[in-house]
Amino acid sequence: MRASLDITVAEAIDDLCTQILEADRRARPVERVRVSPRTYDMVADARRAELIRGNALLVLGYEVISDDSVQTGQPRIE
Amino acid sequence: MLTKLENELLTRVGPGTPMGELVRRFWIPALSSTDLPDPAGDPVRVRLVGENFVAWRDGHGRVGFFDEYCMHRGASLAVAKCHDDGLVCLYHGWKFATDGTILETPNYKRSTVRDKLRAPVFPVQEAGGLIWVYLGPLDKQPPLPHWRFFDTPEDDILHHYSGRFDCNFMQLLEGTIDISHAQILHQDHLGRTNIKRANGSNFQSRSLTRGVDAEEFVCADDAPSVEVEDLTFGAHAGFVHEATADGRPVKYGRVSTWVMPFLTMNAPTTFVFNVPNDDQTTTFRSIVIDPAARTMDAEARALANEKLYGPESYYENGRYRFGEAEAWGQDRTRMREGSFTGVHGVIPEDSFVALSMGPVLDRSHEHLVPADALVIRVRRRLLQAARDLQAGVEPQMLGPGDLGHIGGWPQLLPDPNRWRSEIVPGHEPYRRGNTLAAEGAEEASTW
Repeated sequence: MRASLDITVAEAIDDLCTQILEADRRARPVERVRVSPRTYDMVADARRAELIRGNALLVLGYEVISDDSVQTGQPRIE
Repeated sequence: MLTKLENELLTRVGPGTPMGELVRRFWIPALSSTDLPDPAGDPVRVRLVGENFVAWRDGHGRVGFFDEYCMHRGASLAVAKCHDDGLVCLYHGWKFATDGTILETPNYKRSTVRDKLRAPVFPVQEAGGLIWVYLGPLDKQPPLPHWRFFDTPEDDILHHYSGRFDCNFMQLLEGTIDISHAQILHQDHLGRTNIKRANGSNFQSRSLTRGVDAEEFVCADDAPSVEVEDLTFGAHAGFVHEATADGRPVKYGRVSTWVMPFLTMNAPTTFVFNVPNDDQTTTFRSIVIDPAARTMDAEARALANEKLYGPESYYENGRYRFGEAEAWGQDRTRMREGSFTGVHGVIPEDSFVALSMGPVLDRSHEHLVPADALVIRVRRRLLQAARDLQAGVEPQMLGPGDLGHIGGWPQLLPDPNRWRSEIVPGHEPYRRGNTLAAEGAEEASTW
């Protein structure tokens, strides 16, 4: 079986983490993170059991928003 | 967090897996030289990246590193006999030289096999008290990086440790690069308060507070600011803590350096290799240079060793012997007596946490926070490198030159934004920069 080489979530988490740390250094508040619907679905799928229990969908401690205007590979904080 | 598929990609290292192929592109410290102490001594079975090998030393001291199974009929060469000139399979007496030359085939008199075939051997080098092997394609073989400990007199090596642990290599690697756990998990051993000793021989102070000229140094800040940066050969992260030196507020910086694929250096003289034996077993190799070791008596050395490795009773034939049934070595009685973890030794503390995650951690359930930034970056870089290799892009590596400039000492920082130039100036030629730094150049951290 050929291994999947899709690393969308690993890249998105790293991009968001870098942006959050940078915002922190500049004392800019972060409210939530926005990702593409595809990335959102991948994160939600991984956290399905937790969501069923009623937990919020958080990444790096921030609420995640699925946003049609965000390209996969270009997640952003706000 | 990672998806389950990403996690599989990250953690599986067997033959044919993308991560396995990546790891095989690097020289791997497979054994300690002391594992093969005698010329023509007993061969040793070696499990590495999901495959079985045998290592042995001929009568001239040369090391051979073979597939475990005899090329003739598949008997294990771990039960073979070493002669001065070769390794003899006990089944039919085939004899092999360290370079793979077939010297004798007693049950086949023609020379065809000896002339036309060679045993499956792998390039091997011995340096720094370790036996290094390269398992990748021969035309991609890189030079062996020349680490500082290769040239260090044996008397200046404080620790040369190896222990085998029953969990995936990423769990141990993520522990060694993650400085933010150090003064929480290891508070019994490293602590938050360091008091200078009159003779300056405080091991704890040397490792944590180099450059601090104070009678008392306190670092109670468990949430340092973190900045991660890519390097051509890996990545590093600066962790800047609020601290006090004799009551004065100071900034205390530490840098964790990751060298692809599995080396961590939290100081220029500290090397930790987390070598995957297979998906569920890892050998943790640690080498610590400290010239003060030269002046330590046997008792002081034993004390320093126990502080790092834990008691010898924790190990059986080099393997950390506690599993789930023994709470991975945790002693609740010790905890009631004041121990934070109930485990003795820095490495046992790291490993008992890693073992408690199970053989291969499912990272899809994690809740990471920004303090985990270097862990997040290392995963990404490894995954990208494994993916790139599948597309024909070779990983970038350190060259063969002297690498004494890699890694940096923890120290006070007059300007916390200058942690790179203060702590790891030797990394400057290897900086890759990142998109954010480029976009925000006017505000990016100063070198």
